[in-house]
Amino acid sequence: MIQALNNELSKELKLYYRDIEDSLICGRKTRNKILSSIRDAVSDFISSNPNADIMTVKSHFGSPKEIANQYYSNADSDEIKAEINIRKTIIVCVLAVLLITVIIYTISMIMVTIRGVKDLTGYNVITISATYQSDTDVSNSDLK
Amino acid sequence: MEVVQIAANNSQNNFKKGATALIILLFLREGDMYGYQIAQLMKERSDGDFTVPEGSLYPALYKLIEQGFVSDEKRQVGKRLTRVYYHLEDRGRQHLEQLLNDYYTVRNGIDRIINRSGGDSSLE
Repeated sequence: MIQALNNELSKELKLYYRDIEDSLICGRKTRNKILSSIRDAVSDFISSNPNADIMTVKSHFGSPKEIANQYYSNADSDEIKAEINIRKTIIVCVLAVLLITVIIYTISMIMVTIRGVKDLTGYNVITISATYQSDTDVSNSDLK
Repeated sequence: MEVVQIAANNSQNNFKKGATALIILLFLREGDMYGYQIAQLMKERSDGDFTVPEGSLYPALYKLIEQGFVSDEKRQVGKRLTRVYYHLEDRGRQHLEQLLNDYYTVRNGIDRIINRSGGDSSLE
């Protein structure tokens, strides 16, 4: 049905669905099921109201916050806690991986720098010795 | 005054959230319905005093399905459109009876508390 909608409304609906998705702190299965029901209902609503814009849709179906609040009022608090804990664990894991990567990168850069410094030959002392020849010596040698 | 209005709206919303499942089950006892029908019926039968955005019904409906009180079925409407109809299961009927009992018990309790505490003069 979405293909039948005009492009602008379709884009705005995508954002609306994404906002609902972000507002719902629940398992993927639950979220997908609720979103699927809302998508079907929105398609139905738009086919009955072809001139509807995104504001009409939002006022009829409610804001993402209202939808999420309704979910939380029916959901088990343990279920929500478990989902929040899963999210926290994922965030902590991602941050830990990032931190480890940064540490490894920093250490490897330090090692490369230290190795580079050790490999440097330092500096060579070049002695330039100049031999002075007087004008008379030069003329004598020419005569010979 | 604005703060009082916001607080009043919030308390109304809290009452609505709690009662939504009860009302959905009550309507489905009359026959299978889809989301829009339920939202419209709420509006009509409450004379506009109990309105819930249609989108808010789906989390409540999903919970009722998950608990086995309601089942859903996709039905073809027209050429391309499908509509999800919700059906009240036997377990749902029993749960509805329980919810109605709970509701009347709590409501009567609150009424008694209000009456014995001087009541609300603005409503008299």
